[in-house]
Amino acid sequence: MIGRGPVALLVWAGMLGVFVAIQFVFSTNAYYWGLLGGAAVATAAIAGFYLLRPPLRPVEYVPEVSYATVAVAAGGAVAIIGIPFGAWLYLPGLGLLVVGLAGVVRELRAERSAR
Amino acid sequence: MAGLSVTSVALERPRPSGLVGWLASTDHKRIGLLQMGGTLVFFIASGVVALLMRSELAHPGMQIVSRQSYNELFTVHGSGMVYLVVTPLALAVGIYLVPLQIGAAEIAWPRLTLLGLWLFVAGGVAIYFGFAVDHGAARSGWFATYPLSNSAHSSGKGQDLWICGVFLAVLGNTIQSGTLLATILRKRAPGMTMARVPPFTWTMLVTVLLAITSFPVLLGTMAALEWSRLYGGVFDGQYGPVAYQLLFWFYGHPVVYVMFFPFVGMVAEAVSAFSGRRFFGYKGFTLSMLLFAALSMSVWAHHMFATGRINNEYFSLTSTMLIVPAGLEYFAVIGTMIGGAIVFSTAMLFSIGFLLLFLIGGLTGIIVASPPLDYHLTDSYFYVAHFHYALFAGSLFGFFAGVFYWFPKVTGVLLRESLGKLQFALMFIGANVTFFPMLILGYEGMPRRVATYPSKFTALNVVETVGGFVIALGVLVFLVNVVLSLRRRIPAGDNPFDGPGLEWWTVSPPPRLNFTSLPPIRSYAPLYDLRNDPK
Amino acid sequence: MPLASDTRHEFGGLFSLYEWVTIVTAAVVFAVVLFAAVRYRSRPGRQPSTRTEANVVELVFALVLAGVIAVLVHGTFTTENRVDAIAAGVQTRVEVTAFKWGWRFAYPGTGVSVAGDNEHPPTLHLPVGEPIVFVQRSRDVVHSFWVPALRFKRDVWPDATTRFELTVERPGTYDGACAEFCGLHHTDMTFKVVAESHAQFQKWLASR
Repeated sequence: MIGRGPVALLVWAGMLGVFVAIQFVFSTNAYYWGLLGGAAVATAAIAGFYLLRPPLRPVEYVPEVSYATVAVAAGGAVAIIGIPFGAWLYLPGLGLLVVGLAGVVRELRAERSAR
Repeated sequence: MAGLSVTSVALERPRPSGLVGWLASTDHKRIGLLQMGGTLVFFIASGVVALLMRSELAHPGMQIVSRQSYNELFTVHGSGMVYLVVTPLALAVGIYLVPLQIGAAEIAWPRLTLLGLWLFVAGGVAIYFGFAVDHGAARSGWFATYPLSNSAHSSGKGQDLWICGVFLAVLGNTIQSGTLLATILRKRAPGMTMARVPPFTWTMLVTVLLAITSFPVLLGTMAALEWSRLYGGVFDGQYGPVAYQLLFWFYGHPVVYVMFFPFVGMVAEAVSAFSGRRFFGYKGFTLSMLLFAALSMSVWAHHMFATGRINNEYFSLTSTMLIVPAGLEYFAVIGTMIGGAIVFSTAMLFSIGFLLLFLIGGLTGIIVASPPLDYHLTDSYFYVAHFHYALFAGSLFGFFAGVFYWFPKVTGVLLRESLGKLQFALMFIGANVTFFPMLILGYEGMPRRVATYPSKFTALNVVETVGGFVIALGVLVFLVNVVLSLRRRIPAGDNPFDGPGLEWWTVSPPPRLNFTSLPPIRSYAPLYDLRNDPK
Repeated sequence: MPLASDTRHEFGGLFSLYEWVTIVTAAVVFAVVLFAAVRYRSRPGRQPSTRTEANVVELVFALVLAGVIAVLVHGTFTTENRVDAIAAGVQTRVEVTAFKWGWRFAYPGTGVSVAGDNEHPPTLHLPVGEPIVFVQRSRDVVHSFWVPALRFKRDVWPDATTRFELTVERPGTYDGACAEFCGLHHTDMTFKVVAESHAQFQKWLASR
């Protein structure tokens, strides 16, 4: 039936397109076709992205832990929660987020050199 | 025997032991289990909140909490169940199972998957922290209708914490949906074409498509809502409040299918194993899953039929069309039972319970998909019954079917069947005693989200409260079962229930990289193929 | 002549159709599931079937479902056209204003209005047997005007005026409630509806 994964996405995007088309029998409200049409386009774009990707490398490395990722989560969360509370909260959050992102970059570089 | 052609090798660093090794782990199995644990904590919290609500509603008038507290309670109960329990749970079961079902050593982008977990946890903490701040927790309902949720009508940081918490949880969900999609598309073992992907993984595929295309709209809407609270504007002015609802429900409808499809997949797999045969009607099932998901993206304004501000006909048409894929899904699952050799394990009982009770959720959904009927029934207890039948007696029953099926794979030990059957009985009876009377109350005119009611509604409210406590007892029995089974261990072996999928090929519990070998993959039931034709 | 805006009557007819479809579907599915569970339970020597699909049956089933959809959608669309329609030249009009947490009902052209709140809910007087056009608006958040006995509710908006038409067939006293969560006293934002003969209604108006 469907041999390649992204084809399933294209089929789905096509179905969404059909339901957008049916909308026009009843209404031309931009929210309706904009939201649903946007979803169809996004799905097709993701399918295209995957169809064009090169195949996976024969050997992949996986990490065991990632403390940096937890820091990104914590920093991001504090930064977002800080928005209604003020700079005293969101600035430290942003700081932790930046530290975490730097850590992730370091982890990815270490992975690359270990290959 | 086909071998793995993509090998994954762990970085040369011993796995940190203890808590740290778990909390920052990039092993999809640990992330999935931690996330399930997190949703269990939030489930118990939301459940306690529900028992408080039901206790208050057992009698007209206010006996236990104030009106303001009650409004906080139902907001946190609904928000908790949608954002912090069933949605993250649906993704967590996928995060655990999908790589195993497709013969992969690891999930794609494990760090992003881990990020999603902690964003979800942070979001939950933020929402509940609202109880500790001035003016209390959020109290504008789980969909935060505008202008009720603006700074004038919902003052206090509790509402802001809710918005941030919802944003974080849904952001985490969206990121994990991306990694699951990448996993399904790119990490299938050789020989596993899309037509050989097991039913559960297919349901996860459509689930993540829904999430990726609709959750970002919620993120934008929450950001706009918070902006509105801080600086004004956005949803004020003509059509603003309508626009808020159109944007919210574009997420708000697909999310209920995100909360449903993976559990349908779990039921499909459990029914297959406990009927002793491969899943029936696979082609029809996968096509109708795609249609089901596409339709669920197209129906969202049916939550707005009584507004008088949207095109009722289109959304009523697409909503009623859901009958076709729903019916075909039932066709496949029941078709698997017919001609089988059915074993009435707890998983099978929960699957049958799902089939019968989700049906009530679905049929009442078709009723409210008709605007002239919805004009009376929406925003009443009829509606509350509808979604609880679908989500509790549907999705969560499907979840328990999956738990009783896959627990031995995850832990290496069996759950107690006797306690499982007791749990099923309590939950089946409890669900009907709690939610069936709500159909009557709603029809008779009891609105939802009310802290008290006219005395004519008392008798059925008392019945519902009793039912709520019966459900709670069922949850308790489940927790006892889990603790007991992990303490007094009955080893399960690799494939205690003779399941068809690749996850049953490996040891229980699976090692770090899941598989040391793979069997040939010739269909969506590779282990049955091997048994029938061991070439 | 049957009045289109007799929403209770319209609801009743359509609900019967849906109720019938619901009960038959539930009965069939319950019967099939329970039959399968009993008939195909595991017994010594029982070999499960190796059949993997039944495409013709499935296709026929899908077509039957599509037929059910057509019937339901037809019933829904025709009923909705009647319920949503607002006739021209309707004599009796009510202006509804919703606010946190009460209602104001005004009768344009008569100078009469009734208002109440969550502590003293107002009473809405209406004449029976004739169409009444309602025009509504909110002073603050979204509310919803619901009279369960009329099987009808409609949201009340702060940013726009909405209209609908109702006909009350039977005289009596009915409960009304706000059906869109609107904050602290949403629970108590109720009202009463007194539906009476045209003569009694005019008498009541004159007395205000």
